[in-house]
Parts: sequence; C-alpha cells; structure tokens
Amino acid sequence: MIEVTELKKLYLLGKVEVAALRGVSLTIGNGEFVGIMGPSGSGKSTLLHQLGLLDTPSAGTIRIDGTDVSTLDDGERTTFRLLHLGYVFQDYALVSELNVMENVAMPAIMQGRPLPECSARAAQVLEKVGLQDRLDHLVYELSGGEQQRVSIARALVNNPSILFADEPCANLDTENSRTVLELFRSVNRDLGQTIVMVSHEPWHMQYFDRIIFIRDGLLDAERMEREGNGKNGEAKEGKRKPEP
Amino acid sequence: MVNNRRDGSPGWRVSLYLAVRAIRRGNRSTLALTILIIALVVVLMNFLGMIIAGVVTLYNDQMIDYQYGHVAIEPRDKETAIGNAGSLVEELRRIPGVTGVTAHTSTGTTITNPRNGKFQTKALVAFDPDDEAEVTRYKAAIIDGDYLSDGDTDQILIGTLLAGNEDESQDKLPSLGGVKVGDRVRVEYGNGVVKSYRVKGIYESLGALIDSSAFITRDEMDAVMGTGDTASEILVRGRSSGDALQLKYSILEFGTGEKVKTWSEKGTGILGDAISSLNLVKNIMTFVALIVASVVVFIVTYINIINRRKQIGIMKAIGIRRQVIVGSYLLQVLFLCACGIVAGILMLNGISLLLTVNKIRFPMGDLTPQIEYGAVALSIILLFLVSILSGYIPARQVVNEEILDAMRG
Repeated sequence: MIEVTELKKLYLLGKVEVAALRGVSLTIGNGEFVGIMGPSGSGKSTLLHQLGLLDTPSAGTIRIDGTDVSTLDDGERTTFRLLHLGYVFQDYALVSELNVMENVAMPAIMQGRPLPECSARAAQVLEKVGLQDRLDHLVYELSGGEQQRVSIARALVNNPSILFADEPCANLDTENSRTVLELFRSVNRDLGQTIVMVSHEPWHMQYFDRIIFIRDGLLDAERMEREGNGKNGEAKEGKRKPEP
Repeated sequence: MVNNRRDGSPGWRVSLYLAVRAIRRGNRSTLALTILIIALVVVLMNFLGMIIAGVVTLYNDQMIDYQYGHVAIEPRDKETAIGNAGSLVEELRRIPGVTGVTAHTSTGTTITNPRNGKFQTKALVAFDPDDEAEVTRYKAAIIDGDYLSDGDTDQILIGTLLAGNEDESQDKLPSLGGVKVGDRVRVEYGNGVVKSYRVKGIYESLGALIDSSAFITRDEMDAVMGTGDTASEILVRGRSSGDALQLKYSILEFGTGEKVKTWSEKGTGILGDAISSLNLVKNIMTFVALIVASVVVFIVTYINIINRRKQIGIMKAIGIRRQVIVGSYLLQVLFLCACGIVAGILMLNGISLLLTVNKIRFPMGDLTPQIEYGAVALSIILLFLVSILSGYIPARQVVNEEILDAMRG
C-alpha cells in the first residue's frame, strides 16, 4: 500500500522555482491497477518518480507498506527499489550487452540468489510474457514490443510489491500497446500485482481499476469526480472493469 | 513494516557478471585497439631500459674481460708501482675463490708503422701471457696471427683498431694505417730506446678503447725499461662478477697494503654518468608513457560510460548499487590492462629476440638487449594503478549522477 501525504516537488530552472507537485495526497491499495493521467507538464511522471523512489520529494511523506521511504538514505533507497519495486520505462531500458535471459535475471542476481535459481526464475517470468523462445537473443534482435515485454519480465522477476510503469506504450504501435496492457492486466488479476502506470492515451483508461488525474501539480478532483473516482482518487464503485 | 534487508553481498559477482558480458559482446575493434595501445605503452616503458641494461652488461663484461678482471690491485698512494709483484701474484693465487692473477706493467710509448710513417702515442702494456689468459680474454679475441708466448721478446700484440686500415676512411679511431700480422712496428720508449717488433697477433674485442691498445711480454718490458719485479697493476679473477666484493674483502684480509678495487668500483666513470643520463631519459619516457596510458584508458572508459549513461541510470533505478556498476567498469579496465600488459611483454620479448639476432653495434661491442623483469614488474604495477584511477574517475562521475539525469541520457 502506498500512502502519500502533501507531496511537493520544486525544481529550480535557473533562478526560478517551479512547482511540479504542489501538495498531492493519495492512497493506492494493494492489488490495484492505477493509472496516472493528465495533460503534458501536469506532473504525472514527477509523481511516479517520487512514488518509485527515483527522485526525492521537496516536502511531504510517502509510506510504502508501512515504511516511510522519505527518510531512507541513498543506499537504503537503492536496496528498497531492488527488493520491493519494479519498473517499466517508456524506452525499454535494457542492457545491450546482456541477452534476454540475463537482462531479466539481473535484479534477482543482485539480490544474491544463486545463479541457477535466478535463471530458472527469469525463464519462468519470460514464459509468462510469451518470450520463452527468445531467451538467448540479444536486445537488438528483438522488436520494440518484445523489448518492452522483456522489460516487464525484468520488473516482475523479484515479485515486487509495486510495479511502476512510465508511459510503457509510448514507443509502441496499437497492437503491441494492447499486448503490453493485456499483460499488465493479467499479472494484476492473476498475481494480485499492484501496478501504477502513467499514460496519456485515453483508450488505456479501460484497463485501469482507478485513475488519478493530475493537473498543474495537484489532483484534478473535478475530473476524478466526473470519471467516477473520489476526490482523493479512490474508486467510488469498485474497480473499473476493463473492456475486452 | 517492509523488510529492507539485502541478501548476502553479491556485489563483486554482479560486477564480474556485467564485465564479462560487456567484454564478450562489446565492440571488438575498440577492445583490440585499446589492448594494442596499452601493449605499446608497456614496450615504450621498458624498451630504453632493455637497451640500457644491455649496454651496462656489455660495458661490465668488457671491463671484467679486458680491463680490470674482477678485482684490480693498484699501487699505494704516492707510489707508481707495486713492488715484489711476482711474490704477490703467487700469494694472491692461494686465496680461496681466486681463479687467475696477472701483473701488468705499462709505460708510455710511440708506436710507428715504418711502411707509411703513421704513429700513435700509446701506453704499452706488458703481461705474462699464460697468467693473462687466466684473467682476461685477449687470447680468445685473436682474429689474426697468434697470442703472445712466454719468452717472446721481439713480438707485439696489437688491437684491430690500432692496426687500422690502409684506407684511412675505414678507421674508427686514429691507427697505424693498416698493420698486418708479420709486419714490423717501431716502438720508442720514454727512456729513449727504440725497438722494432714483429706483429704476432691482432685481436678484436669490439671495444673501441680496448682494441686500440698494444701488448708485449713482461720479460721484454723488463729488458727495455728495467721494470724488474714491479707492476703498475695486478688483476685478479674470481669465480663470478657477483662475488667480486667478497673477493676484495678476502684480499684485504690477506693483508696487502695496496689499493684494492672491484671492477664496479673502477668502472664508475664516464659511462656511469652516461648511464645515469640514459636512466633519466628512460624515467621521462616512462612518465610520458604512463600519461599516454592513463589518457587512453580514461578516454576509452569515459566514452564507454558516456554512451551508457542512460543504461547506468536504468541499472541504478532497478536497484543495482553504484559500487557494482563502478566495479564492472573497473574489472573491464583491469582486463584491458592485463591483456595489454601480456601483449606488451610478448612484444618486448619479440623485439629483444629480434635485436639479439640482429645485434646493435655499440662502441664497446655488440649489444644484446636485456629485459629487466624488476623494472617490467614496476611498470606493470604503475600501469595498473594509473589505469584503475583513469577508469574509476569517469565511472564514479557518471554513476554519481542523479538517476533521472542519467536516464535522460
């Protein structure tokens, strides 16, 4: 569970202070598939980066499964990310010198697990994303959609508490985007995986249980009311049912 | 509360895992070129040292084999000759470790080739031929005619450079203009005696100063100069050049009142200064080579890392620790460095072999290059240190960036 209180993020652009987040409070429950949406520059990626411990907020607190992650030092944040969080980025972000299996196994190896166990786990996750025949392929031998599925497998290999996805379909065509979103929905439903995903594509909304709308660094309460979420982003009438 | 414990400490293992794959699947041309450059740096750092070591060995061998033996005994201060040389030679022979002793008497002379009138002023040296053969290598260095024999009175042994050539342009040093075995030369002594000698043999050591000398027997010198049982120096040969100092102490313990010097003490002269200068040049070359190596490793690592800024940001994002990422780059640098060093040592041995077969001629003889493995070891250590530092700085610089800055590339 993620509990965010009065989260603020200020940037300095030259001598001018810019507020990317101006006091966001929200809660994301375990097992939810939450979308963060809003116009360009609204602060949705900034919010995801704070929640995913990729950046340090200027004010406010973030608690993940009871841990106040705002108080962790750099080393502890790195370990926390390794043990509890998974990431899928817009541009796949795979290590070019590693093959598919090695890319996926990397976070598991970093946890200190024996190599055969890491490989077995990686193969298992890769089978789930439909890449069991591509284990020995290098990154440049894969299509964009396949690379993104490898990236998802890597994010899942350590059974993270939360999977963060920052516009994972931005570089994919509609068909590959649909494959990725179906995959997210499947791991969310089958494994109870909590997923927080940033998107700006309206048609992605059908896959989310709940949507947090951001505008000008604040929750867009009016839009969330209109789209069926509460003022703090909680679902009013249970989970949104994805359309087939 | 979330468990934030890290299982085990797999850092080095992951660094190695990443480094091995980066090397295996990275750009082969860059890898080969970097290894080649490091190999050339190893050669550059050690080549001059190899030549200097060859020069030193050559010079030392020349000193021992033709000039001083292992230990040279000289007259006491304010005296011009060693008295009772014959008995001293016999007593020295009885000292353990002594394998040969020879007494020299020398005097200033003018040697003239009567056929062309060319003359050279030389210190003519006299020795007992059999004794001399136990200490120096003149006997083995004869290239024409014969070595002197005990009892030779009108025969002279001269060096190839002193004998010279009829065509003066072929001479390396002033000569007698083409003296051959069987020719006669005229020797004018300081006491006014002028005597003609038949050239019995011509020797060649390849040492310029040595090959412009001339020798007669001690009996002949005594007959002309009345030197009697005196010597201007006594040379002693021991078992090995390394034992010379021990041999000197044995001779001193024996109680001789003359000055006793080892070959190395005698040899710290002009060439010693030259070697110091060459060593300075070598150190400057080593320094420059190290800078070249460090710049190359820095650039290679820096470009490598800059090209992977985004990748490094991603790795940090997914929980790979900074030390692991820096470690993987350091391991790659160490690998490049180790391969470069091995290739460099192989190249150095190849050059050494080439120069051993096709010898370089120096004024004191043909030079055989010698690889000084102590100096090579030092250069390896320095190269590793410089490379590690040059790899660490850019790796650390990029790895310390904020994750989001690095991920933006």
